[in-house]
Amino acid sequence: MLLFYERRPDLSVSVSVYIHPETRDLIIEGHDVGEFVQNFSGDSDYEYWVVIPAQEKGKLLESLQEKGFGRRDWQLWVSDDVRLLSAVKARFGGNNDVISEIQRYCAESGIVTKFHSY
Amino acid sequence: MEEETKEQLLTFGNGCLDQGVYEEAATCYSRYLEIDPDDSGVMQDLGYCLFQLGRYDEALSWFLKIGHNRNSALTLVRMGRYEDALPFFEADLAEHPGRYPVRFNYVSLLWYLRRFDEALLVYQAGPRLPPMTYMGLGTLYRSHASEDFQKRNKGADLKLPKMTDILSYRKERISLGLV
Repeated sequence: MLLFYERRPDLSVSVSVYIHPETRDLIIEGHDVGEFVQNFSGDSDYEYWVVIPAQEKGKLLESLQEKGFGRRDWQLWVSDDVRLLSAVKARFGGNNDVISEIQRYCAESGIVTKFHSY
Repeated sequence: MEEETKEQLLTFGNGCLDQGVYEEAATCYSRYLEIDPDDSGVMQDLGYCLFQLGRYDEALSWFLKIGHNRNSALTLVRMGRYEDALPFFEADLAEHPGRYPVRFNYVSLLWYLRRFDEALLVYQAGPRLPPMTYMGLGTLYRSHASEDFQKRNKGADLKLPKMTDILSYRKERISLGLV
C-alpha cells in the first residue's frame, strides 16, 4: 500500500507499507532512486525500512484508532492487519517525511521499531 | 500469477481491498489461502470482500470457519436471516460488552424484529451508550419505554435514553440499514 510517492527529474521517492506474511511484522519501506541519490551517497538508489514487530502492532493500532485514524467498525470487520494498514495510511500517508514521522510517533507511544537501510 | 509469492499476494490483496477493488482482492486472498490455508486474518478479509461482492453464502462460510460472530451476524442480516443472526450478535456482545456499535447492532435488530422489551433490556445492560438512533430507538422509546415497560420489568435498573438525546443524534446513520 503506497504511503508516499514523488517523482522529479533527479529523484524518485516511494514509500509503502505492508505486512510481512511470515513474520506478520508491519513494514514501512522506502526507496529513493536518481541522480540526487547518486550525488549524495555514491549509489544510484537507497532503500530503507522501519519494522514494527508483530507483537507491537496491537499497540500501534489501538493508539491510532483512539485518535480516530482508520476504518470505523460499524460494519463488517476486516482483519486487524488491514485495519492497521488503513490507520497507518490515514495517519501518515502523503507525508514526505513518513519514515521519521512514524518512528517519532512510535517512540512517543512506547512502541518498539527497528530501522534498516542499505 | 502462478509465480507470485505470499508476500505479493497479500500486499496486492490488501491494496485492492483498501481501494475497494474487491474482486481482485478476493482473487489474491483465495490464491494466498491455497498456499497458506490456516491464515485466519486472510480468511476474514476474503469473507469481507465476498460480502462486498454480494456473495453472502461464501462470505458466511469463511466467517463461520474462523468463528467471527460479528461478521457472521451482519452477513446473516444481509441475507434476511434475522433470527439466525441473533445468537451471533449475542455472542459478539458477550465478547465485546463495551463496544457501542456491537450493542447498537444487536438492539437495532431486536427492534426491527419487534422484540421491543429485549431491545430495551439489551440497551440498558451495558455501559451507558451514546443515544443510538433517531427513528429506531425513538420509536422504541415512544412505544415501550413507558410505565407499562417499567411495570413489566420491575427491579431492572432503568436508565432510559432521553428523547432529547435521541433527537440530537438524528444524523447518525444506522449501521444495519434496517430502519
